[in-house]
Amino acid sequence: MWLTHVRALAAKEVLEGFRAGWRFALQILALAGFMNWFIIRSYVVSVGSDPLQLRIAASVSVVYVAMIVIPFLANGHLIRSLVEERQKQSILSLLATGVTPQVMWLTKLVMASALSYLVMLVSIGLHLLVTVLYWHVTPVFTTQIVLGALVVSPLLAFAVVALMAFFFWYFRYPHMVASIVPVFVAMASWGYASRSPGSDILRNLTIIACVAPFVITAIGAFLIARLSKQRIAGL
Amino acid sequence: MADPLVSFEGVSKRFGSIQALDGLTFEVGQGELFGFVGPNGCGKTTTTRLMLDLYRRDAGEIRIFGCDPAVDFARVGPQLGVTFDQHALYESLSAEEHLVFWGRMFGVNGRELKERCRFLLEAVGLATRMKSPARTFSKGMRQRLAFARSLINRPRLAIMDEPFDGIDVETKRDLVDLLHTVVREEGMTTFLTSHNLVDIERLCRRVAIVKRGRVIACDTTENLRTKTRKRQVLVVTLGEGADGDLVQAAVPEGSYDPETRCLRVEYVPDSGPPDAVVRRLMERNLPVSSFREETLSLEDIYLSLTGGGKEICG
Repeated sequence: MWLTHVRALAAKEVLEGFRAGWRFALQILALAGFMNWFIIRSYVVSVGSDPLQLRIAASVSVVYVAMIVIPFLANGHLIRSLVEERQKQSILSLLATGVTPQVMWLTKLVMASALSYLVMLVSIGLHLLVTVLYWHVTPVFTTQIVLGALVVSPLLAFAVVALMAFFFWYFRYPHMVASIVPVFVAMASWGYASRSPGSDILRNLTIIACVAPFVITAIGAFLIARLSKQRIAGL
Repeated sequence: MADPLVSFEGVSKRFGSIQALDGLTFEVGQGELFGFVGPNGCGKTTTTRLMLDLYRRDAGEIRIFGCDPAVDFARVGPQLGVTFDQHALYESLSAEEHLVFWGRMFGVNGRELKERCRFLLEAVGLATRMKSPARTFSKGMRQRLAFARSLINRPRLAIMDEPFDGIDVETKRDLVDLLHTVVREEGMTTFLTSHNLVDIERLCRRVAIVKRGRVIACDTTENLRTKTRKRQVLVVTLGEGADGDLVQAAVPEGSYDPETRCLRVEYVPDSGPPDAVVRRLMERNLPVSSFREETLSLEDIYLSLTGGGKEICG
């Protein structure tokens, strides 16, 4: 039965995500574009005299896009699908179907992550477009950069998203944490990216990135399964 | 009752210092339309939430389809249809998408789901608005959709918390018709809570009246009338100029409303002729315009039992 619930919930989340989330996604894309401009400008200032260094720096900046876009966007999706569902009490009807809280939580988390990953891909495309057309810098793609941008950095972002998703159901009033965490992560990534041209710190975080989201998600699901439905529904 | 679909046996639930349920006991039989009424704060919502495993009881035993919902809700939940007093719709989804989503949650798919959606949307009068998002719906339309949603999986048991609260007469009539159709054709059992006793009386054959977390009466409406002993009401309309004090003095067991000039006297049918009351009024030269006999409504019984009105149990 859990697979039936997952399928139905996932389809609903996609519909709602695209309908309710597209305006928010546009805002995030605009924010990412704005950050791109500042990051590349800071690279031009610091390594502008060396075209090769600038190409490498601009290419590595792609790695940080996930950390800037995913926590913000997934946070928006999760507020709609976890917090609003509780506030509007539609969660009561969902729980009354027999779906377990952990299946519901995991499905919503995965769908929020998947939707934000799609937007991240678009955002990376825009980032590269601006880099080529505006800054006239052709990025260099190495395996490390591609893996960093498409796998390692998103996995780190998903760890943050899983942590937020856990806060949303574990705490009755998670809004403060929910507002601060994505802003902190995005600003930290942006600040690091703009001050460290060409840095590939994410390479060193690969092991953490490969472990953290899964461990946090597993612990989150374990603890969610032990919460009473009364607490999850905010009754 | 042999093999009840729902049974509560001595169920208690406390929230801090508030005893929400205090040894609640009742049973609902297969195919019944069962009414659950009581004043605000008497434990109606707590009872429905215990049935849905949203609360954990402190004591007692609950059985739905023979299972304890707190232990085996995965078996109970898929056979339920639920309507809460808050409609809780997804604003960006259309009426059809709502029903498809809820149908899929219960494992209803393909042609069966399509046909069920069409039937329910037509029955609740939303067929022409099936593609419109819920955010464009009026309160009545939202209630219609929430009602249809609760029936999408052909539930064995529908738990409806104030389903007719705040909706217009036409919507209510359509939903009542649909409920009767589903109960009759699909053998669905319905557990209905409502403040509107007229609705409950019209829909339900059996009723539980709850006060301070306890069932104080649970029977058919007909038997409840019998148990309250005084089953009939004599309504005497007096002419202009009738003195309220004189009326009350002539018939101390009645209650007189000077605004409507109506005197209501409850009585046991076989205990004496009601025209004795009229005679007493006429002996004191009080102008009697008309009089009629009425059967006690569920509201009269409810007010009597919950202490919300005049005591008629004697």
